[in-house]
Amino acid sequence: MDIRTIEPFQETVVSHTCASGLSVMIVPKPAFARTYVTATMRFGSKHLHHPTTNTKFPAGIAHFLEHKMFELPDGDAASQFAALGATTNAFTSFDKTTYLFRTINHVEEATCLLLDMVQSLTIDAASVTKEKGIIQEEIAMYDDMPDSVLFWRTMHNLFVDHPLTYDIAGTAQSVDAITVDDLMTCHQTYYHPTNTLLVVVGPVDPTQLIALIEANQASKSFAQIEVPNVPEYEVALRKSYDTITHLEAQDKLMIAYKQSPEVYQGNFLKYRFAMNIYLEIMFGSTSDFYERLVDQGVINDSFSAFSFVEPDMALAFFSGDTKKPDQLFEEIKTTLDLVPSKEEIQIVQQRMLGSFIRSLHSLEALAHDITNYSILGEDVFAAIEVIQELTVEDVKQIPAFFDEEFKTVTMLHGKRH
Amino acid sequence: MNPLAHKHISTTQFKTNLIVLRFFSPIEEATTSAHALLPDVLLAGTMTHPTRRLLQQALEALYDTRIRTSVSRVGNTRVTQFSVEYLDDAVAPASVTSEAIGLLADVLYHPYLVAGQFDQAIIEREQRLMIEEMESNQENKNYVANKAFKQVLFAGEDYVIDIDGTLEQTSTIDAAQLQQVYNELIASPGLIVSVGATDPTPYLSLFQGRQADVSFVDRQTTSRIHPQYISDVGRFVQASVMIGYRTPICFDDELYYPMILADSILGGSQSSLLFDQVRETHSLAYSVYSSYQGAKGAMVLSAGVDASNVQQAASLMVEQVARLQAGDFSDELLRNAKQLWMQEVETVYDTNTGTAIKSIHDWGLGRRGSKYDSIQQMNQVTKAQVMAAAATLTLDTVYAYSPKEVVWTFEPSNHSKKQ
Repeated sequence: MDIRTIEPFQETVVSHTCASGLSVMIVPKPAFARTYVTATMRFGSKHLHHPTTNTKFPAGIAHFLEHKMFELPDGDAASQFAALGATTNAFTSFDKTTYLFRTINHVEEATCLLLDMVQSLTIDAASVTKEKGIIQEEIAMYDDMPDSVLFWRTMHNLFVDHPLTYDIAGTAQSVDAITVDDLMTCHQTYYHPTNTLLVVVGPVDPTQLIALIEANQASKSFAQIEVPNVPEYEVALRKSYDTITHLEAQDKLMIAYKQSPEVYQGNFLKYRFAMNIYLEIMFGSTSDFYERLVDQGVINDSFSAFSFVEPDMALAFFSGDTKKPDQLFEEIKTTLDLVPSKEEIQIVQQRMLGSFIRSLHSLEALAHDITNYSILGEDVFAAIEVIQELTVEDVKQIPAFFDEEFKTVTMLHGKRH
Repeated sequence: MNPLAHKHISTTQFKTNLIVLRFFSPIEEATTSAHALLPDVLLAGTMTHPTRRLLQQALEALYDTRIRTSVSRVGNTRVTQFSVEYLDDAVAPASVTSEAIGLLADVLYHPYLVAGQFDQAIIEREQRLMIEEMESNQENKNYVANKAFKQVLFAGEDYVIDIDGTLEQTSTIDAAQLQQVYNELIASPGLIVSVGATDPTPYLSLFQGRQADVSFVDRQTTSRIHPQYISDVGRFVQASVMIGYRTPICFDDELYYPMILADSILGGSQSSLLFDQVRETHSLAYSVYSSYQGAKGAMVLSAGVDASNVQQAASLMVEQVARLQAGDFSDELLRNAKQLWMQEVETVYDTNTGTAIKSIHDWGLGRRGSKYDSIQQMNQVTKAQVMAAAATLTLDTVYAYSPKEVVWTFEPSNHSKKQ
């Protein structure tokens, strides 16, 4: 058990790796009533590769498995959490599946319930068939959201034959193709404790809780597994320009740039923050770009610039409703040639520091930050030092990311007007 | 006017201090849009920071100090809220307290004016942004369906007035009307709650106003002998089924806590009757829930389903209310509903915003009891009381927003005649 005190922020972090391979991180918060616990598997929509055969699972399998994990041999897990006074939920992203609960009482029992839930799978063909209908309604719900449709079409155009091309929930067809065997194999492979991180934030005694978790893990056996790697993608695009229509939408534009993660030159964290600072200064709500184009009626509050700077994923997006897509297109291109000043960088660094300190009193934000950084092998508390140490030169390298050759533009035409 | 009444909740639980100001005013249809637009115009610049960009940059430099505004309703009372949240001195690299509170006071009392009037260019820009936001809300099926449903459920009542204003009204707002609603706002009854390690009282004389004394309950109800069955055709892929019930039980009723539990048992969790039957047993929906509106005395059931399943889903949803009323639910479900509610009450105090809003709400209702009093009251609720609360639910409106026209055919057993 490793105990660290983060002095400037008055926080303590306890880390431990169980004999089973399960990683545990605990942040004691004695002043809070509630405890927030997450169990995260490094298994997201991009993990489609079968561990032993050279085949791929149907798209959406991680999300499908997330739905099925709540079924236990002795009833549904949600009721069992509720009986302990806990509320539970789960979500799937590109790179992980997270199960969570919040409770004020019975933290230890609920933690064991969470571990037992994610470390066993009880399904049959009938329950899998039933779930298909629910997930297909979920997909239909997202199909009614024009921003979601635009984003996933853009992802589709960015990648050729790579798992990132698919919606996290999959498609109605891919969901229909998922079998009991597929789910069992994924569970055995990706839900292994060595692929799992448990994060606890709340008024708990870390020593006592870790002893309980160790005992829980010691009562189970786990087969040796090898988690398949996600293949690297080609930087080449599927399509560089696309248009779609949506009946109930405003006109929208999304521009996306893609790069190889090699662009980070081995330091993705530094690159991530440099990118965030660059996008904030040049395109954020306090930028000249934003103020000017709002005044000119080119963009509105829906505009955003964001990125995915991950060890195996390098993407940046510009998106928003617009009645003047040609002007927005040109303005983004022109602005990407500019570099911010030292003073502008300093202000955003101050904002990011304040934002980080603020997040420390949100149990949820802290647990998710710890998870997001830890599953990438990084330390959230060290990340703030990276932000503070960023130089003008670090930020100045960002415009080189935006290579016109690796840009895709998707226009969504609304039919409401 | 005097300084606004202020209550400070002292805690070292949070890294920030939060100050929330609330102004209360009656909702009048003619000025609703102007009241909705006003906070945006105030945030668009002050005399010392004349543009939104300069103001936001000043806040960012104060380690991400945030000023937020909102306009909402409780019953027939408009609540216009301003808040500022800033790092506490204990964790801030440098103290920002005085400047942060000063910026909020500037937003409220020293807005950017040209020749003594709100700047026309700012008004036009904020009008356009608000109109575009309203247009973009039309992309959201739930928003569209909810709004259409509210229009039929509460037709003829003041509750139907949209607190966000209307597109037509927003486009006609001018500087003179904005000045009028601004004057009304700062003369409205209000109060301040602060949460954090540092009591901001020395700075709060900046905020003046009348003391709040308002009612949060709206008992205006249209009499309807038989439930109405309505549908609209929309262009979304999925249909929304919404079912409205009326109840005389509001915040201040002795069956209020039993009604909260009734809502939770019906559709407030993943163990609820609606979730179990509509989603888990019949696979008709991904999203299905109920929502009790304690300021109005209404319960709304909602589900997103395939258009071909609208009738079946509606029938099942009404059936679950009948089960609730008949007491056809387990003791475990009731026990779990209590546990979940008590957790919610406790956890409200784990966020500074929750702590402030709960304090204001109790203050407004004249409640002086602690959270432990309300937990005790909830603990004592019996199944018979939940059934008594549920028995007051009267089916009012069955509604579908669907890509295909719906000709209602189902008739709930407790209502023999269909209109």
